[in-house]
Amino acid sequence: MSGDDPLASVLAIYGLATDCFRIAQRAIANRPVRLEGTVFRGMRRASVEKRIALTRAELDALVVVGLWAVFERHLREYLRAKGRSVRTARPRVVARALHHHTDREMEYWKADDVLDIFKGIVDPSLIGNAKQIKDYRDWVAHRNPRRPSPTKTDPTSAYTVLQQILQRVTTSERRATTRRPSPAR
Amino acid sequence: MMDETNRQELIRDFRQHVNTLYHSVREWLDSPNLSAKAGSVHLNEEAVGRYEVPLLSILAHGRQIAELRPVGLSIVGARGRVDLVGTFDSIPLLYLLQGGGAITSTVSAGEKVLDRSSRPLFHGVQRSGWYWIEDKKVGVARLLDRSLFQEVLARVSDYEWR
Repeated sequence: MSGDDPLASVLAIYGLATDCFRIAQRAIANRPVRLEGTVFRGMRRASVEKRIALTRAELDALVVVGLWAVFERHLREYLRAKGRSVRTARPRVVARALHHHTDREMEYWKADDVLDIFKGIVDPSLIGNAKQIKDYRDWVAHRNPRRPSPTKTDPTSAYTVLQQILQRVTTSERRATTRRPSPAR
Repeated sequence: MMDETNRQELIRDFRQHVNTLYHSVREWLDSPNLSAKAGSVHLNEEAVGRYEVPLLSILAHGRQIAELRPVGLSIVGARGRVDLVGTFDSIPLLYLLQGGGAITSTVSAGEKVLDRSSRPLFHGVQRSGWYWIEDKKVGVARLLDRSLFQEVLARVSDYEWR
């Protein structure tokens, strides 16, 4: 797995963006601001403030979508790397075909099934939390206002859950490679 | 959706936690400039369906500067969420149970367990209550008290406490 905390950059961008929103709202509230060349051109101050506030709320949901995308990609890449060991099995021709097949199909595995693979090293309740984040991500992405909301999350909580899972996977990998049993004589 | 008894119980507990929060907030608004106005909001969650829950507007000199807006009772890692939404920013407040939801991790090689450790999802949860998970100190939960409330209200609304 590359990088100690691949989700950190998403959270850092989120922190920067929320500060930008705050600065924009302050600028609008405290003095006249040039709005030419922006989507706010010609709008009243109250409308500008409302639009910024709505976009700010939208940002939280989109950041969770972004965190999930990075998280899922890392888990799939980790499994893809693990799957390469199949290539060295015998007979080689079957092993290579098997690897080719699983490598191709892996992209289509359901996210819940991918998460379940890690239940042996990650607390099942944390895996459950990750599945809830996935459901929330789907709800945000599909935007069906008639559908009641699933279990909700915010960027900081989602980061906490997903980062702990990646950390456990990385720790387990390091320990497994350093404590590999010596070959039989 | 769950059975009706469980559903009613969850909603009742959430309302109770929300009302406790509002009661504290009203006490913390100890400035003659500040006041609170009660309202309500309808939520619709997969877990429990539709229900009504109170919200609280915070006013300075009669003008709304922030709102405590319930988001739901079905929340990842928590038992409820109310957002403090101000003119300049918004922060989530989470109702966390004592211990913050312990997580046990196991490292094993085959059948042999090499290491087992347990730690909370969020650090700093000494008792059940409303917490803020600060975005710049991820994983650390801060219990909402008078001083923290003043800090977060200033953050979301730029209100200056004197």
